Amino acid sequence: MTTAITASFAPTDLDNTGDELLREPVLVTGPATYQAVTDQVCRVTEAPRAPRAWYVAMAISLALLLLFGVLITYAIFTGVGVWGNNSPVFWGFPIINFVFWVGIAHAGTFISAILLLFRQKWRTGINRFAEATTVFAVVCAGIFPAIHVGRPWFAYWLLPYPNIMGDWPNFFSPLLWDACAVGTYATVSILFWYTGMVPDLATLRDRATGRIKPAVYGLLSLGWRGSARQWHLYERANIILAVLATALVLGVSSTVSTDMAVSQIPAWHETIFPPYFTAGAIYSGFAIVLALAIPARELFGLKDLITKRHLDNLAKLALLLGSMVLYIYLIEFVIAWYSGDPYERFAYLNYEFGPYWWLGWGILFCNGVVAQAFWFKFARQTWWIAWPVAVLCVMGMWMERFVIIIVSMHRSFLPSSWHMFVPTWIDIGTLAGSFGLFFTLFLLFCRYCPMVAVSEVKAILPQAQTRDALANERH
Amino acid sequence: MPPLNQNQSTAGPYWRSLEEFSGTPAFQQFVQREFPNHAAEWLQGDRRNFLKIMGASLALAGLGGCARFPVEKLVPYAHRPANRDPGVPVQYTTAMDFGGIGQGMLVTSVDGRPIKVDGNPMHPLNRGGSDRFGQASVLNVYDPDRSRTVRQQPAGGQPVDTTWAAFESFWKAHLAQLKKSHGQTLAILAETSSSPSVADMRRRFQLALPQAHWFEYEPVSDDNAREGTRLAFGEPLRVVPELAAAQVLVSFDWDFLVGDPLSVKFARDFAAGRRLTDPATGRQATCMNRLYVVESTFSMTGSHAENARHRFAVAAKDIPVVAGLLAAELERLGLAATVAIPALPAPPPGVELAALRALAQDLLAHRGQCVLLAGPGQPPELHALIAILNAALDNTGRTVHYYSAPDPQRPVHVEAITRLTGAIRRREISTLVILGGNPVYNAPADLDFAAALAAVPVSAHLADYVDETSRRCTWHLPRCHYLESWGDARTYNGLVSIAQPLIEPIFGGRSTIEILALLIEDPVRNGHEIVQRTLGIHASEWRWKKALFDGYVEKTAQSPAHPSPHAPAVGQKLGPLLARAAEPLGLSNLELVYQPDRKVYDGRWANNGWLQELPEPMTRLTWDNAALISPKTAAALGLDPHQTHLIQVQIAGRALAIAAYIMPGQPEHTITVALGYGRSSAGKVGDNVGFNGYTLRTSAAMYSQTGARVTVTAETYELASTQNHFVIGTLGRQAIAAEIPDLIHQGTFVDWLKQRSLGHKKSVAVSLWQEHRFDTGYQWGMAVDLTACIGCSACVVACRAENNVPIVGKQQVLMGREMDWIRIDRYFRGPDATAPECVHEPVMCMQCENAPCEPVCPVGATSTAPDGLNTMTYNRCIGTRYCAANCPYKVRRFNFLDYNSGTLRNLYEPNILRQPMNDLTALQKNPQVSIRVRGVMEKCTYCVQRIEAATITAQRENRRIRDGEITPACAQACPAEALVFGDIRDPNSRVATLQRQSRSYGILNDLLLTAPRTEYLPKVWNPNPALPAPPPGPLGSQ
Repeated sequence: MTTAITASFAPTDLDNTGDELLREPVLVTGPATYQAVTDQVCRVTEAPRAPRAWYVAMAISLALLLLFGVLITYAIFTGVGVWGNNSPVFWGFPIINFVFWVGIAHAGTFISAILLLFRQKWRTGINRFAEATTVFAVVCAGIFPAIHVGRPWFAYWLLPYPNIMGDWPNFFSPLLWDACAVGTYATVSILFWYTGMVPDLATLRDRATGRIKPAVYGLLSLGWRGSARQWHLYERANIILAVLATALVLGVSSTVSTDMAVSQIPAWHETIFPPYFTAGAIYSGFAIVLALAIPARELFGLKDLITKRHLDNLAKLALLLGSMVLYIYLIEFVIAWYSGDPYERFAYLNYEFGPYWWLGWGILFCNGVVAQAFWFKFARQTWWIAWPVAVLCVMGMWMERFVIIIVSMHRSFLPSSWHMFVPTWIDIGTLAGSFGLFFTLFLLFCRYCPMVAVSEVKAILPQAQTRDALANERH
Repeated sequence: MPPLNQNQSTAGPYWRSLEEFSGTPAFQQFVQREFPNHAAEWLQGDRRNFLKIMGASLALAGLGGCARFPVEKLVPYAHRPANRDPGVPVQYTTAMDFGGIGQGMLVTSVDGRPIKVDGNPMHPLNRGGSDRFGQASVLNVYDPDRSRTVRQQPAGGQPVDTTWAAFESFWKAHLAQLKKSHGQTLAILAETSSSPSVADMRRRFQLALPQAHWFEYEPVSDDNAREGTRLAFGEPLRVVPELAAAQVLVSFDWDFLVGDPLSVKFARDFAAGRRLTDPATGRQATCMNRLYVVESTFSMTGSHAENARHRFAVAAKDIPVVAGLLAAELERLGLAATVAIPALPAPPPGVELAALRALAQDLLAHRGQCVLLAGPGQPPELHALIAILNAALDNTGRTVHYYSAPDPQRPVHVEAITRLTGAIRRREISTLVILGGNPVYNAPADLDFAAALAAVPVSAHLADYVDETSRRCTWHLPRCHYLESWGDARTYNGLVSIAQPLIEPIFGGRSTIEILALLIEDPVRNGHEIVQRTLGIHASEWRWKKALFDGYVEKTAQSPAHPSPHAPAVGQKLGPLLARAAEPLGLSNLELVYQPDRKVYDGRWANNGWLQELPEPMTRLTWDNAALISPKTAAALGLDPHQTHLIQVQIAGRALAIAAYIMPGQPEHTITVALGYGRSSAGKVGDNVGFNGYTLRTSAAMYSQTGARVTVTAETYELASTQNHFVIGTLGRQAIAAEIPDLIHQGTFVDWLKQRSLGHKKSVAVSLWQEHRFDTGYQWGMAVDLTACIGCSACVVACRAENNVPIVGKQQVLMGREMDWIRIDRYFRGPDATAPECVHEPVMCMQCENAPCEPVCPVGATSTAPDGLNTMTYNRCIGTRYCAANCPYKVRRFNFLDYNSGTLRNLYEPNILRQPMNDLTALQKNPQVSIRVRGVMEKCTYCVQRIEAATITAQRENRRIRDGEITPACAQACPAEALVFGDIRDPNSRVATLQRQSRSYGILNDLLLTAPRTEYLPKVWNPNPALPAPPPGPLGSQ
C-alpha cells in the first residue's frame, strides 16, 4: 500500500489506560490486524510526500544544523574563548550540553533494554523511536567533549590507543572514563537500535516499489528472510544487547557524574552523584520521549500504536524519577548542612541565594514541582498539559546541569577568584544548533525508517498470544 | 644592528644622470611612464624588425633579471667573539632615571637583546629589588608604537617624516639666528633628571647661549618636600627616611611603600623592621615597627597601618590639622617647644584626640627611633612642620637623613611651567625645545599649554612616542630608550651609576644628552663620550670597567647632612593652612585629590601593556582609572552600589566625566582621581584608556582642591577589575568572612611573643594511606611572608617578563581571563566599610605534592616531578581545563584565544586570518620559556628554567646547588624580600628555616591535604596596646 495518509485511515485514540484484573490491557487500538499494523507504520515511509509540518520542521532543523556547523567551525578556528568560559568557570555550555544530551539518551535505552528484560509489553509501541532518540542524543553528546577541548585536533588523545611514542592516557582521569563510557554507549545503542530494525527494514524492502528504495532497504536489511533460524538468532542478539545496554543505562551517567564527583570543588565532591545523575538522566529522557511522542502520534497518525496508555506509562515513570531527583536535591542540602564544611554549605546556599538564585529555584520548580502534576490522570492524558510539563522538565534538567557545573565553579574556594559566567551568543547558538542536529536526524528517521517496531507490536496483538507465548509470558 | 629606519630622502647626494640632477620634465616622464616613448611603434614594424626587437628584448630581459638587491652584509660566524655564547644569557648593569632618582639595574640580555630588567644587587637603592616600572621598562624597548623617524610639521601643514640630517641642517641655520641674540628667545623645557651628564650639558648649553631659558617640569614631583625643607632649613634638601631604624612610623598622606621613586628602598627597610624570623639566621625578632597612617586615599601604605585605629582617613586639607594637633599633643606631653602652633581647629571627622594622644606617647617613648613622614601632595608648610618635629624627636640623623637637593636654585615645577607659558604668551619665546615629558597632556589645565605651544614658531619635542605634545610641535625627535643609550644617573644620595646600552637604538632615536650636544653643536656628540667627559673617566681606565661592572661609580655618594631647623618662621606660615580646615566639606563642596597612578604613573607608562593590565593593588582595576568615592558619600550622591556610574565631576568651571569606584576607607567627601589616563596619543595600547584627570588639575591646586561638585549621570561604565566587587551580596560577604581567616592567618606581635604558632596547628587532615615521600635530591619550596609583603605587584610584572605571559586586553579581563601566573589577592576587613583594614596575599601555583590538578588530566599533561615541582607539559596538553577546574587555588591560566599573535583588537578573528606575533614584540620574549599556543593551560613553574640552568651549572661543577643560587623572578623582584625560595630538604636553607616556624601554614592544606610546597607566614600586626582594637568585623573583597 503506497497511498498517502488518507482520511479513511482515521486513528481511534481510544482510552486504553484502565487496568482490569486478569485481563491483558489493550495495547493496540483500532483495527488490530497484522496487516493494519504493517500498513500504519509503513505508509509513513511509503507516502510520496511527508506532511507539510514535516517540511516546516525539517527546514527549521536544517537551519539550526547549519548554524551548529558554522559556529563549531568558527570555534575550532578561533579558540574556545569565543564562548563565555573563563577562570574560574573553565567549563561552560559544552559540558552542560554534553551531560544534558547523555541524559536525554538514557530513556530510550531504559525503555528498550530494561523494559524488555522486565517484559513490559507496552514498550513495543514506543521503543523504536525512543531508541532513535538515544542514538541521536548520543551523537549530539559526543560532539561536545570533542569541540570543548582547547585543541580539538588532538581530542583523540583522550582515547587509549597504541602509538609509537608509548603514550597512554591517564587512566585515573574521569574524562578518560567518560570517553570510554560514551563510546561504548554509542556503539551498543547503535547496534541495539539497528539490530531491532532489521526485520522491519526487510518489510519495507518487500513492499518497496521503484528502483532505489528496494536497493537501499535491501542493503539495509542485511538479507533478512524471516527464517526461523534468523528469528532465533535475532531474539538472542536482542537479549544480549539488552543486557549490555541495561548496564550502560546505569553506568554511563554514573561515569559522567564522576567528572564532578572525583574533583575537589564544593558541591561536586559527593558520593551521591552517580545515582543522582542516573535518575536525572532517565528522568530527562522520559520527558523528552514524552515531548516527542505526543506530536509524533498526532503528526503521523500513529495513535493506535502509541496509545494513551503509552503516554500514561511514560508520565508515570517521569513522575517516579522526578520524585527521586527532588529527593536527591533535598538530601544534598541536608548533607551539606550536616557535613559542617563551610565551603560545602556555602556552595548550596549559593545555589539558592547567590547571583544565580533564579536558576536554583528554577530547577526546584521545574524538576521538583511541575512533574508532580503527573500524579493526576487528567494531566497525564491531556496533551496540552502533559506536553508543557514534559518540556518544562527537559528545560529544568538543562538548568540543573547549568547549576551543577557553572554555579558550583563560579564560587569555589578562594573568594578572590570568584567570577560570574555569562554565555556568549555563540554558546547559545551552539546549544540551539545541537537541537537542530538532533531534530534533523529524528525527522529523517521518522520519514525513512520504521518508526514503530512492527514485528514486536505484532507479537503483542491478541492473536499472537499462542499458548507457548502465553506460557512464556507468565514465567 | 643598523637602525630600522631606512627612510632616507630620495634626493641624496648621488644622481643617475644629468637629467635627474636637473629634474627636467622629460626625465620625470621617463621615470613615471611604464613604457618608454615609441614602445607602441615597435609593434608596427615588419617581421624582420619584430624578430630583431624580440631577440634584443630577450637578451635585455636577462640583464633586467640582474636587478640590484639591497646590499646585505653576511659575516660568517667563524670566530666567536669573546663572552658571546649564542643563547646564553648575559647580564649587564645599567641605570634607570625615574622621577629624578637613579635606580641601579641589572639587565639580562640574550643574543644581543635585553629581555629582563632587575634591580642591581650591588646598588644601594635597589639591592636586587625593583619596582613595577623598572620591571616593565624593558617592554617599551620593543614597543612598535615608538616613534621611528624625525617628524616635521610646518605651521598649519601636514606632518612629514624626515631625517636627522634634515633636522641637523635646519638647526645649524636656526642656531646661527639664535646665537645672534645669545639665545634670548630660546627656551628649553626639560624633565627632572638626576643625570650628571645632563647637568653638564646644561652648563655647556648655558655657556653657549647665556640668555636662553631653561625650565624643568614634572607633573608629579617632590617639590613640596623641597620647599618644605627650604622653609625649615633655609635650603632645599632631599628627605630620605631610614625606615629600618624606625620603631614608630607616622605617614602623613605619603604612600611611601609603593608610590614613590624611592619605594624600593622604603619597602625593603620597612619590611626589615617587621620581619619576625630572619630567614638567613633563623633569629626571631624581639621588636617590630609600628605604622600609623593619616591619609586622604586608602593607599597601599595605609593598608599596612596596624589596624583601623592606626589609620586616620581624613580629607587632604585636614592632614596638616592632624599634624598640628599631634604637635600640640607632643608639646603638651613635654616635648621641648618645637614650633609656635597657631590656634588649632577641632579635630577633623574620623580623628579622636585620645588616639592622637596615644600616638604622641608612642612617639615620645621612641625618641630617635621614630619617624614622621609627609607626602608629596601635602603643602610645604606641613613638610616643614614634620622636619621640625623629626628634629625635636631626635630623629634627624637617625631615622631621617637629608641630602642636598640637585639644582637648588630652580623654581618649583608648577612655577616653571607657568613662567614658560607666560613668556610664550608675551611672545618672548620663538624657539622651544622640549626634552622629554608631555606638557600638552600633563601641564596644569588653566595654563592651556597646548594653545600657547601653537604660538611658538619653532618647537621641537624629544620623545619616545609621537604623543600629544609632539603632534603640536613643529619638530618631533625620536628619543631612545635608556637601554639603548649611554647615560648616567644619580640615586638619592648622589651615587652615580652609568647607564650602558644593551642594544643599538632600534628606531634610530637619540638620548637627551646627545640632543643637547646637537643643540649647541658640541664637538663631542656621542653619548658614550659625553658620559666619559662628564665623569672624567676614560673607557680605557680600570675605573670605567669597574663602574660598569658594579653598576655605580665609587666614591660619588654624599654623606647625609644634619641641619637644624629654624622653627619660628614655620609657625606663622601654618596659620592660613590650618584656617583652610575650617571650611566644611559636604556634597556641594567635595574635595578632589590627584595622585599619580600606581601603574602608569603620570601617564608615561600608558602604552605599556604589562602595566595597563596589572591590577591596581588596591582597587584591582586594570585598563582604567576611576574616581574613588567612599561608600557613605556614594550613597549620599545616589550612586547605585551594584553598578558603575559615570559621574560628572565639576570644579572651578571645569568638568570631567569619569567612572565612579566605591572605595572602602576613602575619607568622606573626598574624591581621588589617579592621573595618567585618558591619553589621546599614547599608542595602540594606551589610547583612550581611562579618564584624564589633568583636565581638572590647575596650577593653583596641583594635588588637592576643594569646591568640587558631582552629578551622577545615568550612563554606566564597565570597569575591568580582577576581583569581583559588585555581585558578592550579603551571602557572599558572610562566606568570605567565614573563609578568609582560614586563607590568611593573622595575629598580633604580642600574641606571637607569647605563642609562636599563633594558634596554628599543623596538618589537621590525615591521609588514609602512606603518601609518597619526597626524600631524595632537591625538594623545592617557597615561603611567603605575609608580614613582609607590601602588595606592590612588582612580582606580577616580573613574572610576566620572565615567563612570556601575554596581555589579553580589557574585554578579556572583564570576562575573567587574565593570564598572570601570580596575583596579589586583596581583602578588606573591618567593622564597617568606612574604616576597613586591608590585607594582601600573593597567590601563585602552590606546587602541591598532592596536586588535585594531576589525577584529573586525561592525557597526563601535568605531573609532579621528583623534585616536587608540579610541571606542565604544554605539548601534551589538549586543553580539557579539568586541572584548572579542580585547582582549589585557581592559579592555572588558560589560553582561551591566541593571545600571542595578532593584536588585542582582532582576538576573535579566526587564527588563519591573523598575523603572527609582531616581530619586534617577539624580541622581548624569554627564549628559555615556551610561548604557549591557544588551547593550552599554563601556570607558575617556580621559574623552572632557572632551576634547570642552576642544576646544569652545579652538575658540571660537581657540587650541590647553593641556597639562594636560584631565585624565581617574583622573589628576585620583591623589594621587601617577602618571597623566599629554596630546597626544603636542606635544613639550613632559608626556606626551610621559615617553613619550620610553627606558624607557617599551607593554604587549604588542613581541609584538602594538598601538601603545598608554597607555605605562608601569617600577617602579623603590631597595634599600640593603648589604642583599643576595633570590634572584629566581617572581611570582604569589597
